[in-house]
Amino acid sequence: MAIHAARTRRLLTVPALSELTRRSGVVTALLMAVLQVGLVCTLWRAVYATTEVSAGLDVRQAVTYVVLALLVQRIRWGSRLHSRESLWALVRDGRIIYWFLRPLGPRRHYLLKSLGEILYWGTWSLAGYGIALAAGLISPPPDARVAALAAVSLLLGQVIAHQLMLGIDLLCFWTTANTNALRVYSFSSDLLSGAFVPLWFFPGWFLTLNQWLPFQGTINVPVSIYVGRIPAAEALVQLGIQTLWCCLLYAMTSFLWRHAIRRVDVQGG
Amino acid sequence: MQEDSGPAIHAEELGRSFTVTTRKSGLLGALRSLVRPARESRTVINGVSFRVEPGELVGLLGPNGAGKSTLVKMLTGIVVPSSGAVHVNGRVPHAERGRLAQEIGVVFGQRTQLWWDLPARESLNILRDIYAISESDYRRRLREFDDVLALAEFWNTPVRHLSLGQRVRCDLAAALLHDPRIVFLDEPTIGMDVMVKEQVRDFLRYQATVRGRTVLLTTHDTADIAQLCDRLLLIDHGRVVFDGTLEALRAARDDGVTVRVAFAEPVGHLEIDGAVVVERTELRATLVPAPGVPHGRVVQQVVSRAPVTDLRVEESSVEALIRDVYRGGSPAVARAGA
Repeated sequence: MAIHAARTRRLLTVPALSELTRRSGVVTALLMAVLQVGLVCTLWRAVYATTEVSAGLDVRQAVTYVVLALLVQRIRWGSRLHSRESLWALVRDGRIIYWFLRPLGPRRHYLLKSLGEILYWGTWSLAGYGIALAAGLISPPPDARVAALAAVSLLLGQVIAHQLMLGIDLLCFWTTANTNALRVYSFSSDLLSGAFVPLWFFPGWFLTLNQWLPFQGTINVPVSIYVGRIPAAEALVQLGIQTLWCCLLYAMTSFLWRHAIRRVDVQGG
Repeated sequence: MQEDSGPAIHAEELGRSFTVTTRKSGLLGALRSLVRPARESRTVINGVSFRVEPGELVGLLGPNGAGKSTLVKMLTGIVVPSSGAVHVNGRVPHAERGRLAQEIGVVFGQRTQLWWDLPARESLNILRDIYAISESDYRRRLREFDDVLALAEFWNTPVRHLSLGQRVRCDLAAALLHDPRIVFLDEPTIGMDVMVKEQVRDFLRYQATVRGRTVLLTTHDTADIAQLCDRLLLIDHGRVVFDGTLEALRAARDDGVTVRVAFAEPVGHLEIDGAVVVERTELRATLVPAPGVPHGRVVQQVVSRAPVTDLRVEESSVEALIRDVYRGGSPAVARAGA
């Protein structure tokens, strides 16, 4: 047990250790976050300049939504960086074999790497949330119950996002490179999850279609619960849907892992 | 746990085939391949059988594409055999990857297992926790590795800034950190300068002879073979074409020696019983003993024919011996002493 704890703890810190070795990377990430938050605040205040309420939300709720959406999106920022330790780079270089030669196996390696990235980038997002709250850019949750529901929804959303990303990453066992798939996925998930624009501004057919997809569970659902767009009474249904997606995607990625493990043998000499 | 009585590695009629996509050349060919890719089955390993006893240092040799790396991947459990059976330390590698991981160490010379952005020492710390190595063992082993490989000079440098030789030395330490009984090394000295190569050879020799590890080494470097390997396993086109010691390989190639002689005065017609004269000038001759004829008998005859000013018996280079086997110049030899 102690062995597993030490191993887990150590591997969870690897993404942070790697990021912190590059000062320019840290400064760029910080600047980018500040710039993004500043721009979306300016944009959405301009949108609301001539109206007090749009799509049932006032300017404060809208700004809170977009800032939170941005901060939630940045929790998984590590998966978007072209790191030498990303799964596609490991598969392309053949270094993935070492994941198969260690006592903890490739699935656990990936999980701990992904969790480590979430911890590192999530810490930045949490700090950003605290600063945005202190600066009065965003509103706090209306009550503890909503905060708890939003937190659980955020957690489930991260599980969904992890499984989706894993599915895309595992494609590289078949295609060797998955950079195009990653680009398509990043754009689609940003659009469909509500990271770009709150989903209620999209046409009805888009929303109907999106209900059958897992993406809105990653950002739109937890943030909507937080800002009151999804009432607490309805939140439990959304948590149920998120849980269902977690199970379905877990089954899909388990299937892909089983087949990917058999594919590793064809990657080079 | 290593089985005391059993072999360290035992492969029996091991085979592996892959289905590969073949592409035609040219734009039209590329379009055709895109729409309807042609696939064909290729046999990379074909009925390979051998045993490696605990503590042996075996060189796994073969030309490019012979199947060496695939064989190592099968022995380490990454690749599942299409046919045959394999046991490493008494375990079926692909079925018991997790347990076997504690008992084997692997270095693929061209691929590092170290974390690129972190100092090499940090990577070793991570591996210490992955393999659950106690702090005292960890420190002791690091000291031991540092003594031979001089790692402390650069182990606080991020891996991305290390030279190839420095990086491979750290990789060797990483592979042996958990004290594995069996070590697989795939071209560990590739691209190294002569000094570092010597350092690495010293390290491997020490690990095999003093630490008693079983080492299976693939290399194209004949100096590695001559200086390190107790036994050679030559594979070509996925088959074992030779399994034995370097001496057995020489013997199989008719002693593998050449006799060069310089005479004090011109010698007329030179005919030596049991040898072929392959080169001849007025004062010099080069002779190759016939199959089964010891070179000592040829030397005796030569010196009895005329006064000799110089005489050399040269062993064929390892490279030449191996090249002959690949070209089919020497019959496949059963393992010497097996």
